[in-house]
Amino acid sequence: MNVYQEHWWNQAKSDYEAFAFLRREGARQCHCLHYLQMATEKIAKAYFWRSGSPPPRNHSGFVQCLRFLGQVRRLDQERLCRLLKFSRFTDFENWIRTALPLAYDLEHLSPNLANDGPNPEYPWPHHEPANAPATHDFAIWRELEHGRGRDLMRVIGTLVERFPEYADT
Amino acid sequence: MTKTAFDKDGLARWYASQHLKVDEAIPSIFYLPAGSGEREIRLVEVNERIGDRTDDYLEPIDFGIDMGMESAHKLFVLDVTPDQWNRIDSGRLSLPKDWSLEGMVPFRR
Repeated sequence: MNVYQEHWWNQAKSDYEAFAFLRREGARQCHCLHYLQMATEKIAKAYFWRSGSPPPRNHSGFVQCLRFLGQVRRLDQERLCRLLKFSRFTDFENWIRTALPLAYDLEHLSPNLANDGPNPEYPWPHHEPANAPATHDFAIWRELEHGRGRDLMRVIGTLVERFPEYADT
Repeated sequence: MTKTAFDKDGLARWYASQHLKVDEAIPSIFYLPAGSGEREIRLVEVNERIGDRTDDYLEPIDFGIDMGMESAHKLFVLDVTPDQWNRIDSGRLSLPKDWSLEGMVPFRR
């Protein structure tokens, strides 16, 4: 892990801890989702910094990060499988395929990617606000609490907490 | 350091096929070899699930791969919306500096 990765990892960990705290304390969905989205964006940027070049400044990246982990070199595949608790790398590849739609939804929570729709920070639509994040029931939150979503949350937790173990893959 | 022979075109084809296989939001990928470095692969990936951006500044992600190893290379991936791709293809939107559509190789689902 290089020094740039370490800075981004530290911020991702802090965002993730804030998410875990808010969820534990029963905070509103918008605040939990806000920190979860930020944690995924930052862990992706921490990963991209492995090249030594700055990643794009936008709020996306988590999807590309997952996709890229699905094509690591053969010698790193077993390590990644062990870390993320998949028995075979093929299982991980298949899992990525099913997890990506939800990962896109998570990425699109960022206000500048939300197309003036549901986001965890600002009332929408911008020109005639009709909804507030604090009172909105987010469909993605319900998905994250069940099957496929819970599994994505499990993987996100591992990706953040154990970043040094795959930062160089 | 002597480096092993590097099959850039073959590797580009492999990355493109992997990305098309894994991500249903990507209908097509374009490999842009013109002007790229000896160990540099440039892919433009058309993505139906990325949001329309408020600006058109296109910035690729640099995936440094196998850094420090004999197989070291750079993979640049530029994600664009279908609309952005149409505008790139018709010359109304610029690619990143030094990128070119000349000799591009398309890969489709």
